[in-house]
Amino acid sequence: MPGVEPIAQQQSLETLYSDHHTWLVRWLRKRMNCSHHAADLAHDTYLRLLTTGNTPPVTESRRYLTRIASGLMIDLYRRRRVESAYLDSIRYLPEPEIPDTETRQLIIETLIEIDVMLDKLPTNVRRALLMRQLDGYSYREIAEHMQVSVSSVEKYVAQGLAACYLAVNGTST
Amino acid sequence: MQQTSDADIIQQAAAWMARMLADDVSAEDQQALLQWRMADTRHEMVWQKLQQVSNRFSALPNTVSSKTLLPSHGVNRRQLLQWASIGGLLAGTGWYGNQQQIPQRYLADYRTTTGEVRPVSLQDGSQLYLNTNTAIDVHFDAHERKIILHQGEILLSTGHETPRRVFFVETRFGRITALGTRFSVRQLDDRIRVAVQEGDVEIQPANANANLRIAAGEQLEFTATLIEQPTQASTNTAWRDGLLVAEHMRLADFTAELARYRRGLLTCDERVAELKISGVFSLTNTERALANLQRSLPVTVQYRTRYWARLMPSSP
Repeated sequence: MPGVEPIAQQQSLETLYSDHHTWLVRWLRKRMNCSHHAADLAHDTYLRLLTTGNTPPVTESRRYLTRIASGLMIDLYRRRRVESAYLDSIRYLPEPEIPDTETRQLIIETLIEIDVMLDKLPTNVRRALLMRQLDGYSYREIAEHMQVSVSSVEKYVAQGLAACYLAVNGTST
Repeated sequence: MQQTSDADIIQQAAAWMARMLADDVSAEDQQALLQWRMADTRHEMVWQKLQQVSNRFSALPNTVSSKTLLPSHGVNRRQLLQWASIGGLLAGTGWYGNQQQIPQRYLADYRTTTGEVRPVSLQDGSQLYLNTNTAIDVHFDAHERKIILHQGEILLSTGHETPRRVFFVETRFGRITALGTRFSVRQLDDRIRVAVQEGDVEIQPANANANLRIAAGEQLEFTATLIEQPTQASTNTAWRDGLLVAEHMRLADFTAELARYRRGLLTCDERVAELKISGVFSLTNTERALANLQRSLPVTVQYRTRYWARLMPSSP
């Protein structure tokens, strides 16, 4: 883990908490505009430290804490975004087609996984892959919709699939 | 002996899978893929893993649309959160309900006839353009700047002022609030289309528990009860300059667009409806646009009367 130095310089979670907790909550609040969620995420940040068992060297405390907190913040926003987009998309389905709560939760989890895989991909790539894999459009239909050539669509889909592979497995075969 | 790197194999596997998802997979393609998979154990390993990744998509029921994961471009997180929040407050207030039901377009403050495009400057510095066959009212008071779109299409650049009064466009199907911005609003038969060039706008359908912010470069359509997910803006604003810019446009769509600027009837025979047209055409002289069309596509304009024109396949 980068930034983790020899054990002598490590500090206890307790001092990490007492020295920086208030500061971290404030840091989060400024970015999230909500004291409630800020407190929750600060809590989760320390929880993450506790479960991984890693604590940063004294000089790196705040950088380390904000890195974890930022990651959690991104996760939270992603979850909310995907969740609300999905719930919105089923709002107008006929009653019998609306999945039950448990199925909905599973779908949302899968969507989040996919969203993570597609992170940072160019919109064209994302769009082509999703239209093919989720909606089942043909390359020709996608090409028409996106106003690009069919061979570009195939290239985008390949690029998207490779990115998904790397997101899940890393570069190793 | 490793001739190809892992990264290369992953690229190759992805290309193969993209081929298999194509509309025109041939038996040769499938044979070639098999050979590739057997050529090296690492190929097969990567292929298997890639299939697992790909299976995550098929695990979803087909009610899940790509749109769920797509609006993120150009829309920031804060805006997306709006989806879930405010909505309910605005339900059922019936924005348009207090408007009189008589055909207001005849009494409108500003209007254009067929084929006319008209610029209008408002007192707050806002600039707007009325497209063909459009009627609007303008109501400004101490608190708000309101434009009522009765019919047609407008393009707006809102003026800057301090303190800022809220600026919005009221339509039959809901309200579009400008947040410092340039955008166009068009009333179609059964819905409204909004396209944003600069800044953000917020959409509030008249009878829905939802509102949505859309950002520059996006467009969407909505009805009184439904908002479509935003897509990349394709709405053309060249009409402001009296031009129709077509890029690979279906001839049927092109005809419908041109017809808005013409008196009388302009239709398109279904045998040529799917032809694609690209080019810049005059909206102020649709006769000339039609003449140019005949030069670039195998179509003939057939006039039944002066005001009744039809695009037909040209005889060989």
